[in-house]
Amino acid sequence: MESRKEYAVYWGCWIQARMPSVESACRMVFDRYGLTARDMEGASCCPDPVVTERLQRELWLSLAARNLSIAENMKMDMVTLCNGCYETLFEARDTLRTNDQLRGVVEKTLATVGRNMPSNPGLRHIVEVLAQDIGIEKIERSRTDTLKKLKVAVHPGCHLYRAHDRETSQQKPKMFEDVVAAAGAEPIKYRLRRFCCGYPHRVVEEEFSLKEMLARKLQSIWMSGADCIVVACPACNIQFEFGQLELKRKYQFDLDGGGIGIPVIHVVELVALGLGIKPEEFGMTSHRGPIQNLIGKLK
Amino acid sequence: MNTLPTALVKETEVAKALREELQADFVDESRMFGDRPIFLVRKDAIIQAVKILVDDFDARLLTVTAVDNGVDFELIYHLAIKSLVVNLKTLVPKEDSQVSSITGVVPGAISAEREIWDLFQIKFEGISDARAYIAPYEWRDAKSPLRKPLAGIVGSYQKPTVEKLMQTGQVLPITSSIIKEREKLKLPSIRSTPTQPDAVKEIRTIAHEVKFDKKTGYDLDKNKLRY
Repeated sequence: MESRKEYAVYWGCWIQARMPSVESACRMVFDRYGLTARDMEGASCCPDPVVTERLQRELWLSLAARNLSIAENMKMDMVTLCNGCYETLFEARDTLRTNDQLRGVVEKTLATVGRNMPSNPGLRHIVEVLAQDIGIEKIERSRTDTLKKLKVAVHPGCHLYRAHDRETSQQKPKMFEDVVAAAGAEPIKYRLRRFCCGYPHRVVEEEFSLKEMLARKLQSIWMSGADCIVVACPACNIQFEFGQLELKRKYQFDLDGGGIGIPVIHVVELVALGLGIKPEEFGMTSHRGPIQNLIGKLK
Repeated sequence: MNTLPTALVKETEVAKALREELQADFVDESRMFGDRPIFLVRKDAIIQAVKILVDDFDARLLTVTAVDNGVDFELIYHLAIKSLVVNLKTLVPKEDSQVSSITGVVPGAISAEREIWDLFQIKFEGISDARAYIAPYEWRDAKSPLRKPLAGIVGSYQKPTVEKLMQTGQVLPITSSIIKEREKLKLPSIRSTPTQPDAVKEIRTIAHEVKFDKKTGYDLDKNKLRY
């Protein structure tokens, strides 16, 4: 009997604290495809690439190295479901490989808490696990008709383009679209696909983040006729869901002609739906957006 | 009393004397450039430190300078021992903005201390004349031109992230409604830092080790930013 591949799943802050449906869907999808999700004992915030890295690179890098070290000690690839966490862990792993001075600081710091320096940690984004480790063909073969004719606006998010060179920067966004199509939905084209959702700006200036970033993006998506937005990052998810409400309440924006907005889900939730798992089984109704609109369109 | 001729006084002897007499009040020794040693001492020991240099090494006060580094004030006492110039440095928390005057040891320090009061509003306790000194008359009512706002380097929008990270290891609280939702979905219990006190201690130890607490003004005992 073939052994199940195990992953050290890095849930980050947002999923466990705000989006249990994403964790639940991920565990179910892993289970269906014969993978095992192992929790990382004592993992901390990645930490975030916007606030902590800007304040002090040594702390940011040491905490990221600690997380990578936990996964490496589990002898598994670390997988993250968040673009921001991926950005931090990717950048930290590269910095530890190339910057001897910072590597020395981190090594000494980790030693004070009895942690070893990660030597060659494996890091995967959930999109890579779905598209490469499970595989597009396998997802296609195992899908139901649940998502048939569902028009999906894929929002890759900025950090999904993170790569070592320009040539490979489009790989993960392309995988994302392939996964959506393989799950049975129809990825639609829209104008501002590459545009940021505005989440990182939100902590500095909410009005700019919502009116100048999110509203432009949403308008482009609504004009495309999408039934829902699919993201690969919980921070983008929160920005789309709460941002829509705030645009209406605080700034009287009416981008969808008096409608109730557009639902947003994470890519693992979409794959779970494609597998025929019912929305209530993984708690999809806990989303704050108009999720019933999406449920009404499922077959 | 040190019996060596002052011309032969070496930096190591000064450091040794300060370290031995101040004990725990001697915090650190560093170097700004070339032959300029910096001795960091606790604020409450500044009079004693100056007295050691003046009495034992015939030190002469050149000036006192102040810097607002955002979180604390740095007061630097520049003293000459013949050709050797040493800097005694102490940190003054911006919350209380006061330090003992050294005019009891070096009366001539009064002009530098009054100037610092003018420019930074750092109060020198025990000074014989605390009047403003160099600021224009129209600036003398609580307008200290070189004093930055009581804000530190952590912006107001960054504070919740910093405090949550130091308190729980993550940046969002796990609310009771989320715990209920997780139970309903039969999710396993959370194994990351919010439920692991020892792991949070590790985060705080790391923060202290890389001097994040010092840089941002995070009080690890009170577990919050000082301001």
